[in-house]
Amino acid sequence: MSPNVDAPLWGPGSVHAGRGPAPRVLTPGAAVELLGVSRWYGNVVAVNDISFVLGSGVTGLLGPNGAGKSTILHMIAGLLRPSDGVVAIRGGSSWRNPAIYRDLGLVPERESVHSFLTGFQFAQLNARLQRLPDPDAAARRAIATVGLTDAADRAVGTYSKGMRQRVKIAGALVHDPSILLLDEPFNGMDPRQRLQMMELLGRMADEGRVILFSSHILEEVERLAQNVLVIVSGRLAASGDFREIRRLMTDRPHTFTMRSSDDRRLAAALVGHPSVFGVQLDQGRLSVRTSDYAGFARALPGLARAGGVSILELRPTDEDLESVFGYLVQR
Amino acid sequence: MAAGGSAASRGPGPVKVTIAALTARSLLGRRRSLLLALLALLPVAIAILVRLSGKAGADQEIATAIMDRLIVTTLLPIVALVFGTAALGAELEDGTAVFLLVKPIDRWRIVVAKLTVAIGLSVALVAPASFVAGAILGVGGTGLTGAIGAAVGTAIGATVYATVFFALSLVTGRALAIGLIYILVWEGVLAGLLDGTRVFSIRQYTLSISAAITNPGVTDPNLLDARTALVLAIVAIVAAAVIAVRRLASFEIGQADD
Repeated sequence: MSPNVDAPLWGPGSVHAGRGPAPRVLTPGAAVELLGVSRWYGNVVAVNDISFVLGSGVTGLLGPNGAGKSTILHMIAGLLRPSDGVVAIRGGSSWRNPAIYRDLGLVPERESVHSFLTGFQFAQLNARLQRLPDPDAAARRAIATVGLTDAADRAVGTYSKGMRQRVKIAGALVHDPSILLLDEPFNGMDPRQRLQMMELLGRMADEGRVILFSSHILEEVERLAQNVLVIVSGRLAASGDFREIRRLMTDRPHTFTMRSSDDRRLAAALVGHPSVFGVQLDQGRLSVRTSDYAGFARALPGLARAGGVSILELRPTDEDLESVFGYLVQR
Repeated sequence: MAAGGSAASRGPGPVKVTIAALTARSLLGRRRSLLLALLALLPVAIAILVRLSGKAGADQEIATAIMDRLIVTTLLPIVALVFGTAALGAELEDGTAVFLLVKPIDRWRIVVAKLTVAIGLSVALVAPASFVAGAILGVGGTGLTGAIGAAVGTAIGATVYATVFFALSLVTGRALAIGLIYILVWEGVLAGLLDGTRVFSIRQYTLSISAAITNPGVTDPNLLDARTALVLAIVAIVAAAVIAVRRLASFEIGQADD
């Protein structure tokens, strides 16, 4: 019936024959590419028509819980079949193609190491399964890279959460892959472990690797990733340079609630400031809406002092990620 | 010698050996293997008690009860069920198999390595137990023919059961429960009642092959023809292995709660 039925959906020089604005052509030389990728479970759409290309450096896959981040990572890693679209690793499909694992490492979120193995044994096992010429040397190198040399001969079952995370990374990079995928690598880590992990990932990115990690915590992505993909409800809500997205996030309207020694006088002082476009006094609580987050933050102490009011409490009301993401999606 | 060893470590063989060694360690390292070993010793212990009470030679019925009811109908399928479902299916469920799947290894090699271990351990536990119990009870008269028949039959039965349950664990996450129902309801009750169901009964394959070795030339109307049983056993093993390979090749990780 359709005149376009014989046209290829994708391929070199071909253009997507169906609806939708995006031409469906794989980018030559791309390390990782998703092209019109969707995934559904029964009637539930987990990932909806996502396309992006990953280059070297650290990319953060940012989104609230349940947004579809793991589904995307698993499709890239060839552990889930896309319901629609193409997931390509260096131009080859990732589905049912074990050859991609020569150049790809995956660090899953779940505890996934046999607890009876020592850290070294786990790395060595990965090296052997990669058929490396000298598995022992590769294992020692990977263990040293993640800073587990001192604990290498202890069983993984005795490791802390952060160490277990690192031993998984050792297993994933024992064959020196150029593509590394990490699912929520900072989960359950203390601040020091987080810092070490960030340094490690930054170092690996400096070596020219393609690193994609998922996180639901804005600050983690901000500190580590040059590029960011924001996923909300299975859709790509924003992508690109982090500073640009951060600016979008900061420039959106913010609402603060305050308590002060004299709410009424503070409200009068605030309403005259250009950064404020709404003030409300309601049941002993003062809420202020501003369109200029930074300007408001700078002006507030001076305004309060000039009015002789001391601020007892200042609280942003919509700083949770859901509302930030929600705002990005609406745009 | 040393140079040959290091070259061999790059070949495809050692990858299977590596996977098999890990699987064996994982299966034997747990408390359940001790439990299974005790279970395997149970028929041997009972056989010794029967022998000491002086009834063994006189009463073939007690011998049959131990060999058939205890070993072939209970011990054999349960041991194979535990090893068959734990070798890969359980690791896919708990996530410990993921690191194995993201390796440049054909999925059929993973199936072969893990299935070999599941079969090997099942046979290693069941066949000696049935040989020793059979020898003590003097199954099939004097000499060891009856014990050998029991050992060969249960070895083949363990291979079929382990392969079928291995495949089942790749088809469903409830392989242990479904396997138990199959053992209790199908093999335990229905296959004994209905004639036509014999060809689908692994217990029948085991008993028929054992009987043919123990008493060659004697045909038992309650059992399958031994050659038919052997062919059916091979068909079941191949079919289950093919299903397992196909399932693993297109394995999809469970929906994460990301």
